[in-house]
Amino acid sequence: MNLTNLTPEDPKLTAYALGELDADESARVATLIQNDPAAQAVIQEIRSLAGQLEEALEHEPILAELPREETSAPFAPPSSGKLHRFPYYWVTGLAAACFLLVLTSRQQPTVSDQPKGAAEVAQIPSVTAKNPTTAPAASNDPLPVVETRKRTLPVQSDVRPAPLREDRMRLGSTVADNSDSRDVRFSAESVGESEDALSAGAASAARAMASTDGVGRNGSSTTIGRPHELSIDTLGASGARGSVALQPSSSGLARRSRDYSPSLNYGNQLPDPSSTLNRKREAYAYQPAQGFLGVAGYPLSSFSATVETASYASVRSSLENGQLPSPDAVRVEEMLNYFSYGYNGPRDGNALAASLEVAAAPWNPAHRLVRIGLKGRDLPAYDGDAITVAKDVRLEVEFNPEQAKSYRLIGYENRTPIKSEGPVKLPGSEVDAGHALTALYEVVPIGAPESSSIDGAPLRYDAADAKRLAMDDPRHRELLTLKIRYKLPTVDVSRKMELPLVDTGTDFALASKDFKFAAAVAGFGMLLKESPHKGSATYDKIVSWAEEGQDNQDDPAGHRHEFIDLVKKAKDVTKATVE
Amino acid sequence: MNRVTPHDSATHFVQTAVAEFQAPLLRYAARLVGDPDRARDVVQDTFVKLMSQPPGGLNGHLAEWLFTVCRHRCLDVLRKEGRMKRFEEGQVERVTADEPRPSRGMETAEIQEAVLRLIDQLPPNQQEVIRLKFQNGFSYKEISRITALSVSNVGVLIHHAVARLRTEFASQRL
Repeated sequence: MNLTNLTPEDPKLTAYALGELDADESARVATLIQNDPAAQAVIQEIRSLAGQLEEALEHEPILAELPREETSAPFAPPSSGKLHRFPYYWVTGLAAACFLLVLTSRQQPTVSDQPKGAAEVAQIPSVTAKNPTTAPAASNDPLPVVETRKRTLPVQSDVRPAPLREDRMRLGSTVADNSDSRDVRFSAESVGESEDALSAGAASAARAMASTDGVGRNGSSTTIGRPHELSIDTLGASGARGSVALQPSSSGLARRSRDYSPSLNYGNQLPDPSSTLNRKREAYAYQPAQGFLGVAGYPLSSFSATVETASYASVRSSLENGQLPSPDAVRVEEMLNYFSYGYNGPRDGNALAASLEVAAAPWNPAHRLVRIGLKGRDLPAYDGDAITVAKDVRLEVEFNPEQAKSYRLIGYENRTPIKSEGPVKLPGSEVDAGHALTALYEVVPIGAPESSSIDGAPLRYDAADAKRLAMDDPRHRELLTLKIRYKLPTVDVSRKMELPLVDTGTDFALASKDFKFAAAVAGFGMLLKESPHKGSATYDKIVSWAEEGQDNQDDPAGHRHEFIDLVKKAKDVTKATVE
Repeated sequence: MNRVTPHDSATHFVQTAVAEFQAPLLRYAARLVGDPDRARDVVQDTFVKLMSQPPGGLNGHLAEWLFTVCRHRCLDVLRKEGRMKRFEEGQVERVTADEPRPSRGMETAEIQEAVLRLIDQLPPNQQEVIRLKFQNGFSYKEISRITALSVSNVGVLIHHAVARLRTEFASQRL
């Protein structure tokens, strides 16, 4: 195409200004205008206007006032000259429908505030009578014991989407619908106010639930976090019109929001449509490595931890047959559960005890590895049947953006989701008497060196932009808070426990044996799956980590010894395959 | 023993998509169909369709795919409700009201409000591409695929919109 004449009316000029021309055309235009100051001035104006448009549109609310009906009269702009802002919090309410709405209630400061030696191991008593949100005098009642007939470990894995109970979803959506644009409307003096209104809405909701809050969290939980939980229930429900999720509800909203206001422990930002634009801008937003989630965007991670162990047996039998297991058959979360760890059972007749430990991840020492342990109370077995001590167990971790940059839950990959036609009642795990489960997170801390090979581009929205906790606020130093929801077997009221974790920077060498062994299991899983996160792990190193983690006291059945043999076998098989 | 729900990659993929794109899609859809309730329905439908997609299949094109599907749904809704008129090209231009001219030295927020008002006065088809470009970060090519307009058509629309906005800016001394 011959561009001898490029007038300001030529759309190509605008395209050039906006960087939409390909390299050749762009070069041609640049040549044409190099002696044309008028054209260059236009280019500048267009680019400057583009910046203004981006900024203004970034803060545009979801829907400014628009006529509902199509009229033949020309559109009349708002008469007051001020934009009537759509109440922002209906969007968040809708987002809240995608949340696990957790009532946070701090326990009394417990042992967790005092670091125990090198490993940060903390244990809290589970629900105590002080917690007003649970059944009164819970710890004094004899725990109901339910006998259930258990089959042997089931092999099939029918999985369901991430937990979001149907009734919570319903409640979440009523929060959204109550903020109907027709009824609630206000004009903002400035763009910034829409977010203040949102905070105010959230703050009043948080205050409403403050009376049920335990120690230490009042008044600070005024923000609504980003949805990390899948809203598939909402989506599934919407497949049928007239489903609960999107119908406005006239009753009981205010009452319900007191029960289920979402709140976060660490001052996280509100969800905001501009965040997508920010992500699309090149070299701007923080991009955590593949498989890692950024804490700023996704401060909450929740999952129903599995109690399964079958994958380990499957891996073992493949290797004993001289073959590497198929990567899909390797499930780190199940392999971790196969082994017993020295977790202390709950005290005072509580149903569950949780423990947390953090140290360097041995395959990438710039990263931290967090071990979560959950153990059910011991009960004498009747007739060999297993006894459930807690049902609908769900774990949620909230990361503190001032300490954690990104994270990934190890394992829990590659499962086929179940498509639902309608709302699905999603179960949590069941924990049986004396049984334990273990889960691992790999966390990239704030301040991890740039040379950390797994990490991504520098942070744009770093902790400086987020609402900062006061330096003397004990939560500032916390890496994360573990929240556990569960129910006693015969009860439908759910209980919760919270356990914060402060990372004191322990090296791997000083971690507990259980920790080292669990890390070895995770590393083994990553090698077998050829995971991109394996870092510097090798079979030899895994053997050495596992050997450091050997503990005959915790391993009467010799499982850890067997594991070490298995790793060596895998190394041999791999070598044989390569040669 | 109950089966438990893992943090799996396919569900996680949709989770992430919802978290990232729900609000921008709502914003986009609300403009097309004209009210937030229908917009919510449309956006829900869009994510339901996403669930049928293999997770890796949309790598690098997720945003474009979502906006395209969303737009189709919006058109379906409008067509069904006989409101296509609002949407077609050559749309009636909105009358510019006699706004008082803002004075120099306005605060940023006021400038932004003025900009949004100016955008609102563009014909709907120009508004749509302006928002796709400057609010959602799509390229001409992506916008062309989303809207089923040719790339040069997109370029012309944006050019006209930008030219007009530049004029308005100058006359309002923004």
